[in-house]
Amino acid sequence: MFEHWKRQTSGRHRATVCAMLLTAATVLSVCISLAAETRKEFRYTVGPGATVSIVNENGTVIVRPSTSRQVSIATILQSPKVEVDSNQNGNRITTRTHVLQKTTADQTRVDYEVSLPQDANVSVDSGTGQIRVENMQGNVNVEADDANVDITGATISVVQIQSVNGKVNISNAKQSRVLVTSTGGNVQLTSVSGPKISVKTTSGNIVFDGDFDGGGAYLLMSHSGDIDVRLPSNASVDLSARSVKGAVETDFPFQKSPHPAFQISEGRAFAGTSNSGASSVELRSFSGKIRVKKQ
Amino acid sequence: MNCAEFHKLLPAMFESGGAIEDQEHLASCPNCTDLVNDLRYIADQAKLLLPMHDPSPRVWNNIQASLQKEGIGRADRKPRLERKSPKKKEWPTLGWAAGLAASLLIGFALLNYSRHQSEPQSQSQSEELASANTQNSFVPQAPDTAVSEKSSDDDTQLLSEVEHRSPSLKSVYEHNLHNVNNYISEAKDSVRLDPNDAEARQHLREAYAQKAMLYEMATTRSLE
Repeated sequence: MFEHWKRQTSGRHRATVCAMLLTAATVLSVCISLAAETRKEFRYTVGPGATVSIVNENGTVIVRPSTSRQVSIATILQSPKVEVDSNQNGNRITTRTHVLQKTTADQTRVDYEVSLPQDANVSVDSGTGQIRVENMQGNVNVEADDANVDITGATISVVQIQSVNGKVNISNAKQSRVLVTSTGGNVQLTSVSGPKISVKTTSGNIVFDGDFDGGGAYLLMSHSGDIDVRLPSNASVDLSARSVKGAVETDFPFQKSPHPAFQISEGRAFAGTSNSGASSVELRSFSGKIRVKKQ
Repeated sequence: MNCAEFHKLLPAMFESGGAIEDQEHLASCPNCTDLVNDLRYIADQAKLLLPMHDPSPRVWNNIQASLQKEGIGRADRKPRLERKSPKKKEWPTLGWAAGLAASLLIGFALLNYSRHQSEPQSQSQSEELASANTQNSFVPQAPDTAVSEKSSDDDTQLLSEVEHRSPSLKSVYEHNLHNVNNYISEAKDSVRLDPNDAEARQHLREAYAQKAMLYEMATTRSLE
């Protein structure tokens, strides 16, 4: 029959029919997936210093500041096998995904889009997916198993991240205390400064790109992960680097410290000062490499 | 004769098998009369109970084997138990003293059992304490197989909890626990080589903190 159809129709006609069938199938699948999707939105009014907590198993969580005292939490549920409930107790809002029955990862997916006052504190607890927090001035607390975390533009806040395996990127955070503990995920800090910056990993690599501004205390520490630091020549740091078993390399024009806190063994440790040495920078690795380079 | 003097002589009277009831003191002392009656009753009951409570060596062996299997008993325990087990033929002559001995034996056995039952726990606690002390002093002792086995058991339990919560995350935790355990092990070795190395001690502290974080994240969070 197919051979008969092929004989009866021209090549161009066949192509048109195939394209139409393909389009119909695509439209149908989109319709089915849209039908399975459920949207749910919660709105609250909060006072200064409110706390919003999001607990999600799988999906994207995006948090942005709003211009009012309103908190808006928009969710998209991928299947009826999950539900979202949300409640407000005074200045505290908790929104949580519940997995109603064991199902595939795709069907447990819930995407969140949250807008809240810039001074609010936000806490996100997620299994897998993506977490993005933009331009907040309140405290940001993230716990993630295998989710990538992206924090940008945090100012005058405390950013605390605990991650098992996902990547952590923090950028343009000023005058903030940043504490990151990641077991296996890589951590990248770009233009991050504040009174206390601490990044600790087991096997994850750490990249720090910035000027260590603010006269703070910076600690980057790993077990087997490499630590790469790129800093501008105007950086004012008192830097010490040591790897118990790995190598330490630097091409930055430091003035060597006359009285380092530990014994300097060539290629394994280094201590030096740049400019007035306003910020203290400690780079520690057990078996990973430490590289300090000029931007 | 006062009560104290009578009590002192009482065991000898029982052992000799003489007629205690004929003692003059009992005629004027209802308390001592009651005591003698009670002891007589216990001795008689002990004689009756003896055949039921004197197990065969096979029973002792089975108990011993079970205790050893559960890690409660010790290999040198069996002969002691057998020695303590009185022979049936001695009982009629021992009288009430045999009953007392049986009670003591039961008490001793119970005491030993409860002590040995609590031993693994206290041993485990002391290991944990030793481990904690190690963490505090940061001078690890020689590798302890029992501690690492316990740690491995804990890890297995943790992974099963993670699997229950979210099966896809099990491999993530497994991989990272492995890395953290390596971190702890290498940092311990390093501190053992040079206990004064502040750097190595800092790494050991951090390695434990990383493991604690993994446990905390896996156990205290519920997404259901």
